[in-house]
Amino acid sequence: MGKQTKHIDENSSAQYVDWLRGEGVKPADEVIEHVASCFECKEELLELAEILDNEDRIVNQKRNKRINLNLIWRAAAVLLGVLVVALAIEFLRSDQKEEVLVNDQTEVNPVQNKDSQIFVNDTNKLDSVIMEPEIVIIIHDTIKYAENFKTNPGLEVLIDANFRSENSLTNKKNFRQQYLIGDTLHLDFSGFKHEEKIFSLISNRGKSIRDLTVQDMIDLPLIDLVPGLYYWKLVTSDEILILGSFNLFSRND
Amino acid sequence: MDRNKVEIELLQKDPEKLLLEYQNMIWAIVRKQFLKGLVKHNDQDDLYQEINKKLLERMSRIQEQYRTSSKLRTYFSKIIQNICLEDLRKVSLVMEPKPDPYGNDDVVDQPVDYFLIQQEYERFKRIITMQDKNGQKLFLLLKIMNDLPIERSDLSRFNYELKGDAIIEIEVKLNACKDLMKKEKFTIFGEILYLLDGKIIPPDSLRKWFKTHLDECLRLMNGNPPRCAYNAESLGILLEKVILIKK
Repeated sequence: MGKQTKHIDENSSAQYVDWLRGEGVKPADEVIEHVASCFECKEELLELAEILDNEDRIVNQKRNKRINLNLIWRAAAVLLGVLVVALAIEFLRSDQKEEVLVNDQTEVNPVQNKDSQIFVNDTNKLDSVIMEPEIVIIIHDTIKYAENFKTNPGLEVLIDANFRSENSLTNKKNFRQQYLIGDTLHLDFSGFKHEEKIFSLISNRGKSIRDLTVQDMIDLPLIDLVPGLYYWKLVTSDEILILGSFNLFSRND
Repeated sequence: MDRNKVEIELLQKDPEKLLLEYQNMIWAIVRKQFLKGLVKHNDQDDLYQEINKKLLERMSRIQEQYRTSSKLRTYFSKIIQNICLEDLRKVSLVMEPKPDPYGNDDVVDQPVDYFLIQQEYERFKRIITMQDKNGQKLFLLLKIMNDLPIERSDLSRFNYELKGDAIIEIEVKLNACKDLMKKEKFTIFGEILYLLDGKIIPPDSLRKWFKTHLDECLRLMNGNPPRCAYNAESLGILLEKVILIKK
């Protein structure tokens, strides 16, 4: 496999990463067998594959933004053009409207078109009222949307969230506490008689931030954390005992 | 023009410009070392400069040694990673690994469940692929342990020459494992491996084998620094969610 400071050389590693990402040919059997048996290589190659995934995602995102911006400018130009034409038509049409003379003695038959209505008052003056086109405002029914929100119990357990599913682990009405950065999170677990309990603090993206072995209570200083929503769970090796969550605010909020 | 071809051309004609193209990637790899606790926050810039310097020094060697069996970007990223590890292997951990709970802010926000599950499953599939033949067995056992339906395609991952009737028989047998005790599941799986391999594997050995490989799989899923907290249960839920999405 060549002279190397790593287990497999750079060319083989790169080929493996491309293959893992679905972008290249299968590497040699000896390379595959080595990676299958080497945790360090697995870790490094997986890490590299994900860095490249992220880079591609950012590049695509920037490209899409540029394309979208171009589309937006073009759409804006088209709309502007349409608006100018519409205004021009409207202007020309208003110039062409004829005055209707009404004889005092005849019955008034107001001339009607879809845009205007003509009234005759006692002094025989003509008043015209232009009716505005009806404006329709759409109000999203957020309450109905929220009621129809489909809970996802599997995902909730997966990211240990605390939503509204029927899962008995996650639908407890744990009230959401609020803390300031620098406060201490104090929780009393003396009601749980299990010997070995682990307390985990999890961010709102499901990432574990702290894992601590606890006995009856925990006093956790809320420092080195950014403001936001956090979840916590108390677990043993076999089960989740209790879940909770809190909002963390900065002292300037 | 194909991006890879453009980059290969730059490698030959204007390597410094190529290096400029790769600055984001260099920074991403340096930051990864920081999150792993191998580099202090203040030393990131130094490492970043050092890597650029070494890449410039090694550019002629890179031009000679690069084979087109992979994309140039991938090859370069491996070299950058190796340069980082060369320097950092000389020192021990300088600080506690920092979890990066908020990830890459540049990642586009998409509907959470679908994107999250797809991304996680992609990671899981790669880990299974990396395990080679062990990965195929591990995947099947994970499905069995979590009472997930076994499909024909799951069995075709095995490199055995299975005939039509044999596949059906195995599929039926594995799907009948649902709701059995763990020990019984290992027993049945052992019998199936015997049919395929001719090797007798006691249920206890299979259980230990499963635990070892599952632990490794979970360590890789959780990452370094830890990006999540998978355990056997939540990994099973991930597979379940993927099946539902595919339906």
